[in-house]
Amino acid sequence: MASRGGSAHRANGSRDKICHFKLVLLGESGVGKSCLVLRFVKGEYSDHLEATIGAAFLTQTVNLDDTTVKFEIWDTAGQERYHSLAPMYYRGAQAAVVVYDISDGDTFVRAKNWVKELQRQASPSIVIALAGNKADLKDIRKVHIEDAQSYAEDNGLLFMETSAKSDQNVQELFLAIANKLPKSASGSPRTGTLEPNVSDRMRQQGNGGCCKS
Amino acid sequence: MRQTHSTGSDSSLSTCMSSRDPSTSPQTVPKKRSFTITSIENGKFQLNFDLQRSHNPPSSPPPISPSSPVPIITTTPTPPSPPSVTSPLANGLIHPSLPAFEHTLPNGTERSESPNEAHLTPSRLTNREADSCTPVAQQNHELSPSNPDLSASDHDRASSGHDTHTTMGSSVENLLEDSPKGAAGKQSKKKRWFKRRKIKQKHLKQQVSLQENRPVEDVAVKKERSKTHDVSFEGGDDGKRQSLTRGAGGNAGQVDSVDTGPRMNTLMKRRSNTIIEKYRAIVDEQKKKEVPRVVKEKLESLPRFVHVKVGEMCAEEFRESLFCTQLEYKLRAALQNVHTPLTSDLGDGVRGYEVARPDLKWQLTSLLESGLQRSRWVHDNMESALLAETLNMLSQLPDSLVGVAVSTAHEEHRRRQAYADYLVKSHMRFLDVRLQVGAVQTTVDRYQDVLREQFVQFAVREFLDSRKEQLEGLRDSLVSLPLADERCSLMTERVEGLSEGLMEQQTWRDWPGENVEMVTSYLEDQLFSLLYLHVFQPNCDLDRQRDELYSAHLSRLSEGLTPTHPSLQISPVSHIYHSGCPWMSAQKHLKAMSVFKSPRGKVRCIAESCRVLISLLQYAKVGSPPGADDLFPVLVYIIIMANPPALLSTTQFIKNFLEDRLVGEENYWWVQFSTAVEFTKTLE
Repeated sequence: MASRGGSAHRANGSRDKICHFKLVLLGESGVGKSCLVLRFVKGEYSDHLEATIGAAFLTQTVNLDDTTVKFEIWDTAGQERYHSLAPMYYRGAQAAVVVYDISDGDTFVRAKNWVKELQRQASPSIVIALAGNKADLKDIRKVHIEDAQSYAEDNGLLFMETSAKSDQNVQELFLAIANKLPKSASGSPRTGTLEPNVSDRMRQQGNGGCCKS
Repeated sequence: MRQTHSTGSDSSLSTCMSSRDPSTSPQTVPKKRSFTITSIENGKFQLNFDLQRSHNPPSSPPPISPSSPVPIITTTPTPPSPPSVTSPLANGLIHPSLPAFEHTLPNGTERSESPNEAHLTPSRLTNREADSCTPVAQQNHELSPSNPDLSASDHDRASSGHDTHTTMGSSVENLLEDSPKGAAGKQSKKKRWFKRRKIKQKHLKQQVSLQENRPVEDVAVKKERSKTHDVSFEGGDDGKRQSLTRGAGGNAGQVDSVDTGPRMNTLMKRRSNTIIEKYRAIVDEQKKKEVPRVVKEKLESLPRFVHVKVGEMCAEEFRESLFCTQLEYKLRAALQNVHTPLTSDLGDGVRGYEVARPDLKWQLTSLLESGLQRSRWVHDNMESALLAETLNMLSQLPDSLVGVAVSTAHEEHRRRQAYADYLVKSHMRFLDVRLQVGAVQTTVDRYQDVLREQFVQFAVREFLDSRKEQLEGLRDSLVSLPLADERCSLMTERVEGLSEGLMEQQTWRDWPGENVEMVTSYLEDQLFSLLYLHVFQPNCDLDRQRDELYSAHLSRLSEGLTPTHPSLQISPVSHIYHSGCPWMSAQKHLKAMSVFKSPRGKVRCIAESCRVLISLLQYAKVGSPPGADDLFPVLVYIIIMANPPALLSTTQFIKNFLEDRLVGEENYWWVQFSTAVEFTKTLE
């Protein structure tokens, strides 16, 4: 279907330097993927949230020096039994954040598996970030920061220990990803024929948290 | 001390006075005077008269009778009298207390009154004193034999239910006892009074008369009045009647004394003495009561620099002073933009102003100074001026009085709290209304969308009608093609061609860019609806068979499926989501998929189902929004339970014609859904 001028105009807007990126969140269930992304998008921690409907799909815009990066953040089911379905999610993603819980060693092992899988199966240019979440629980830490740091360096990953609860390194993590993403490629997902009515309705309902910042 | 107000709608009176009434003072300087009383009662009469007595020689006092009181009150050198003074006169219910003054007048025969009464000459009466006359007048009225008159000739007026009359009851009795003659002399007085009244009425017929205070309702008199615009008052004192006649044209006033004998004079003298004493007592009492007001008025009238000596004031004085009022106002204005200590600790600490806090002045000063620096920094000159002024005033204040000023301001602030609360409430209501308006707006917008959609649908149908032959050709080609892939690519190609053809039409030339997608998607919907049979299950029987098998698989799975199934494990520990099971409203949208014949319509159903589902989960999981971990197993569950017809063909249909073009949230939901469908295939 021909994507006419109108659609292209819509997707990129009048500001021509908006890059759309698909970012998938991977990690064992319960490591705080949703909280991390909510902290990034809404600036809130889930303990105080009342009205946010779902954190499965959210968008957030990050302003860089010369470009604006718009993240489409895809949350994924992290349970082991759904692991085989993961490729359907990270297909076409330009960035992935692999999250583990610093107070749970198993989640770090799983995170390593995710990284391995991404390096093997995902797009070669995908930017992978490793996030040790729940950094506020230092007292019951199971994963040493040095281990994670060295693992990230060995595998060319971005690494940060984050805390959605105390808002530690959350914005920094996503900013680092935005900086590392290749802007020229403009990972703009297929612009085109998303029906305006549907998208308008989506925006009105705000279910997906279409953030326009 | 009571003051009566004319509340009856039937009466209004405005009195305009300029300068002193010459008739009341022997030292009157000849002046032009205007005296206007307008009284409208029951629409019966309107009375105006102007007094111009430029020719009154100071040496010869005007021939006003000793008992002509009206000018005394009404011509006090005050600006337009307050209604409390004038309206009782207008009502005619209250007799001015004028007998008290009558005998102080420089009337030749009646000047032998007590010299003490001289201070009551009208020129010395202040406005307030004039006010206080009224109750005396009321009492006097009740004492006077005009009471029978009230019941006889003026009964209509008396029955008008004026409160002053009824509430005077108790004092009337007391005063009657005090009266020189007492109740015993009442009867004879009454007789005399009626006699005089007859004479007077006769008199009235001949001349335009102004009687003291009470308009008489006699028909004859009324007739006279309507012609001559005169006011007629009854004398309030002891049955003594006077007619004060004024020329309608405002000429020199004449006062006729009727029936004034030496016996009456003695009686009157005694009576008036009593009344004067009563009046004085009342005035004194009122003065005592009004001490604070007097102090305040005096202070306000003083020039400002006097207040520099504020340090010498005691707390009470200071509290009443203008300086304090101004400082309090400035403090409130200056501190309203900062976190005001007045509302918190500072104010609480000094609620009793006698509590002197030594650091209070310092605290306040430093607070204001920091504010001053800030306002200077942001070039807010008006605020700087205010703060500087406040600081200046504060610096003049001794420590002991700072607490007074702050507590005054605190008290004022507290008094205004209700209004502030009201504003906050109003603002909340405003926000609420805005929210409601927003909801209405959404509804209205939807109407607009529907109308636009209707128009687009109509136009697209028209277009397709014009391309009937082309469509038939396409249908034939699709039927003739054996392979599904070929059918799909042909369909895609033709749809693109047709939508380009559609957009070239004149109709869409000025169509806004953002709505172009809507037009093409409606065309697409129409085309898929027309050719659905040939493109939905391109492999025909094979596809149908597959769908049936899969549907049977799902129905097998659904038997005895619980949220705790090992492959689902929907909130296995907390069971928080189980209350919403089986999430029928989300299933409903999945089941509706088969109704829509276009891939986009089906994806819309999927996205809507997922959104409904996650909102249901949101309401179950209090305080923390659900993510994909929570959603996915539930999605699998509802797919199995809903078992939508031809599910595999549907997913394939979307993959063939739409998947590549999906973006954003719809794409996400589609991926979640198709992943869940894939997962159900693996379940046993």
